[in-house]
Amino acid sequence: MWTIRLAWRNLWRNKRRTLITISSICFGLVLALVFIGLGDGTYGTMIDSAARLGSGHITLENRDYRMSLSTRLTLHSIDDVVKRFKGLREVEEWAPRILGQAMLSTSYGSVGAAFIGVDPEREKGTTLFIEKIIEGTYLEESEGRGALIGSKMAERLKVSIGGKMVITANNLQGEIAGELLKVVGIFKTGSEMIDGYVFQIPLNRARKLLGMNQGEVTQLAIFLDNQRDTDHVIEKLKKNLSNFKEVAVLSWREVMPELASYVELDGSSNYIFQIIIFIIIAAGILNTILMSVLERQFEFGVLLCLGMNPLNLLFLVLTEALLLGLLGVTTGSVLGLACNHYFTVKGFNLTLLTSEDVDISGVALDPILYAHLYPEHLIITVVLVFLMTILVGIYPAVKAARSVPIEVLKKGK
Amino acid sequence: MTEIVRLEGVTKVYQDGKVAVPALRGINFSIQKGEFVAIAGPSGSGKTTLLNVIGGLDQPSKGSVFLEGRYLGKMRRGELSRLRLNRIGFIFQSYNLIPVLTAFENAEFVLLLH
Repeated sequence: MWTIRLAWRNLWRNKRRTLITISSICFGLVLALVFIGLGDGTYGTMIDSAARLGSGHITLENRDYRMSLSTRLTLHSIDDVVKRFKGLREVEEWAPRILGQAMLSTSYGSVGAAFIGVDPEREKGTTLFIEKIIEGTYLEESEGRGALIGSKMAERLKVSIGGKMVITANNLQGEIAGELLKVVGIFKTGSEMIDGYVFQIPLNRARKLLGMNQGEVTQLAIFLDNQRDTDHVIEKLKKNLSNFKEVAVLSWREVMPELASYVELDGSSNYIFQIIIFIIIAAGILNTILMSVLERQFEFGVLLCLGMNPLNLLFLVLTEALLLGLLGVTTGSVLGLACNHYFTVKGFNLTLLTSEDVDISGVALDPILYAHLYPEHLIITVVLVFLMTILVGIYPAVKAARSVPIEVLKKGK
Repeated sequence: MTEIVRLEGVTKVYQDGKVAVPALRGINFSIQKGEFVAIAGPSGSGKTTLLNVIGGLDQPSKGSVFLEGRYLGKMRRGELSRLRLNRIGFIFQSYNLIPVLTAFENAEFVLLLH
């Protein structure tokens, strides 16, 4: 107990130095927590946006579909498949889809594009396309001839709401098939690729175009309440669907490998940045503790003369580092959480730095980044900073414990 | 009477650059329990050096020091600390108080170390 009391008092001998050190620990931790929080939030939003603009958090498709992306490789009895995951509490929604390549033509010209045949009713609770509509409405009937196209595509085809287009594609028999479509809505996601290349049509129109049977789809997109449950739900689904040999269960990482690589790479560079910050802070703490140890050599000599065990002296200096770390980490955590809360509510406006739309791996990034710090990242960072403070205290503590009393006493105060 | 301190041929030579400065030359003496001993001499005569050697704070260049029959020469730092803590009372010439402790706590400190 006296070690703590003595260490605490020693800490406040030089108030200014201690306060500066606590501030540097605090500042480093706040910076780390804000960056990690913004990273967690941004990656989460990107994954969610990509899933809601694309193939869901989890995609069920024919086992061979991804190799050739052929519309012939479909899922047949989707009702039976749906029954296997419908009850899972993590699953928020699901939607049947037919994906294919087609040619879209108007009187002005033609463009190659990717169509998504959707069930408008099921999509309403899941897709982000509805929020991104800038003109017109979303698709209404699954039998209709409506089409929802991107703003870039509308520009290229010089088509507006109510405009007619012809979709041409190879059907399952390999013949050229066509359907007349009418533009009901135009969306703008901010992603060049999606706005210029993707369009939606009703599911049954896609079936008719390709000559597919009722109940046949190329994909079942599953949307989760929390994208972090993906791996865990995939495990459950693989177990539940073990009898369905034709069904492949894929996570968003497998469907969008560029996005997964980006998240991983950016996350790693964030870690490197944080390590650099930590090293700078560690150097500051080392400087403080070492200075305070070197200043007190005479006093340590007295303590050793009086019979203090060198090991106790080592613990005394380590306790000072521990208290310093505890103060820095506590204030840093409180301030870091407060900053995170601010960025969770208000967000960090990227338009302050860039006026252009940010598009990463085909996913349009919201210009306002919202923080969402995962609890385990908070705990890991706080523990790491705390351990680092103690680790940095080891060298000065050993130096203090190794003081030769007679030599330091001879040197004088 | 029990012997509590014994010095046998204790010599201490300090090295000041290339010059050897002898502080103690072949000291032989013992102190018995209950005995009151005062060491007197002019400044620089080696009083502090002698006390440091007896207290296990300094090693003699030659000779042996025994405290309550225990030879100090082979003791480790921890053992010497325990010996100073439990068997010797130190009063420094210039007090050497611990500045962050109160007067009472300074007096109490060695007891707390126990």
